[in-house]
Amino acid sequence: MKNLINIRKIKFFLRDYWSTILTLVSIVVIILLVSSSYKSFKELSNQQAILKEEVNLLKNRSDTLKFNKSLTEDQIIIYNKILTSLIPESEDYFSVIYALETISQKTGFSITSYTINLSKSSREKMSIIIEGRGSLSAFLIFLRNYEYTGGRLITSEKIEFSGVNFTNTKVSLNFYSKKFTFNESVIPQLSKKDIEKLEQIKQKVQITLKEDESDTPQEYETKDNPF
Amino acid sequence: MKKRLNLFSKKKRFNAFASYANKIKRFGTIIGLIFFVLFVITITRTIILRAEMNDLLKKKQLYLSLLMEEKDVEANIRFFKGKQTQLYTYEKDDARFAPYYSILLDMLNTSTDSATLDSIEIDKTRSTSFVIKFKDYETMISFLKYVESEEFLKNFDELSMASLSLNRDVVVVSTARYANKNFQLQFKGKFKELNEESN
Repeated sequence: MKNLINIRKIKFFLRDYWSTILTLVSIVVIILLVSSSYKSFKELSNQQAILKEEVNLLKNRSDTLKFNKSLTEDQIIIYNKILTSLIPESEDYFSVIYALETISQKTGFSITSYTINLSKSSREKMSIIIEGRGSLSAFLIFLRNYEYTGGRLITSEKIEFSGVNFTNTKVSLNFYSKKFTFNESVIPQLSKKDIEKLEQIKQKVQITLKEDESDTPQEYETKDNPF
Repeated sequence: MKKRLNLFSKKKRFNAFASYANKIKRFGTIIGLIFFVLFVITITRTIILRAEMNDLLKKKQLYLSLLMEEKDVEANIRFFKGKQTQLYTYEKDDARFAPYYSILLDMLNTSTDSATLDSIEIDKTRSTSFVIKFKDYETMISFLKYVESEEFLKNFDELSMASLSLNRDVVVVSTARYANKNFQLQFKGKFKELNEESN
């Protein structure tokens, strides 16, 4: 009996106050809708910020690439050949000997002997002590031109020169080799100064660009009668 | 005894709720409208944001395809810059003897005709030590005055005289002995750094 009365009470309550209850339910539903839509708006906003940043990075990379391409004017392969010749990826003793011979020829100062100085050499640097003979002017030309003329980058940390007794002068030269490692995410921007420097070096260094030998025909006519 | 139901006591509870109900409806409607407007604004901004994201995605695709086409050029440029950095680093190991030697020789020729550069040493830090020979005392004094001038000193960060010596060379020709005196001044110092164009 008591249960029946309660059910009837609830029925009457609902019948009399259905609009109020509906209002309350609608408010709750709208609040839930607003919060979920705001949540998805916030997520989308974060994604948009990340995407915008990515697009900016890509745009900068693309613009830098276009600028660099216009600056190098398709000479980049030649510049890279020169740089690889100056500082090879790994040490090549033939190019060291060739460089010394080339410098001798171009300067007139004949290098007669060379010794590797192991105590001053490292993985990236080979230190060589050279002795040579020639006139005073030839030796001075050698001192002015050793840096790039041989096709290798050569430095000398200290030079002792005696104009009176220069024939016994020994010069310590350094040759370098280092592998290129890719470690930057941002593409570097080149400058006119970079290109001018390479052009200056290009004047001093002669790099021969060999054509692709596979272009030559491999087949030839054979003769039945060799005479 | 009959059971009586007092409706008046029951009525009080429902009347109180009835007044609350009207207030709830009134405020509820206002709040509901406000939240509905917020909902519409949020949805509109979400739609605009989606359109912007679609544009950005198209741009991203465009840039990625451009970079894919030029990936060889990009690789070459990265290699160029990497190697050039190595070149600049190793070039600092060089003493750059020739330009500093030329400067000293020019200054010597300007100051006097009878002085000679006997020896010179230059290292990669631009530190130098050089010996100048003079045939007579007067030339040496004249050169010392020149060394103290602005024209000479402007090429050095630091310079000091390390030693002064008098040498007597004896030359024997047949039975005659000739004594040649010469003065030597040794200097130690550091050249001022030259810019790249002076090399």
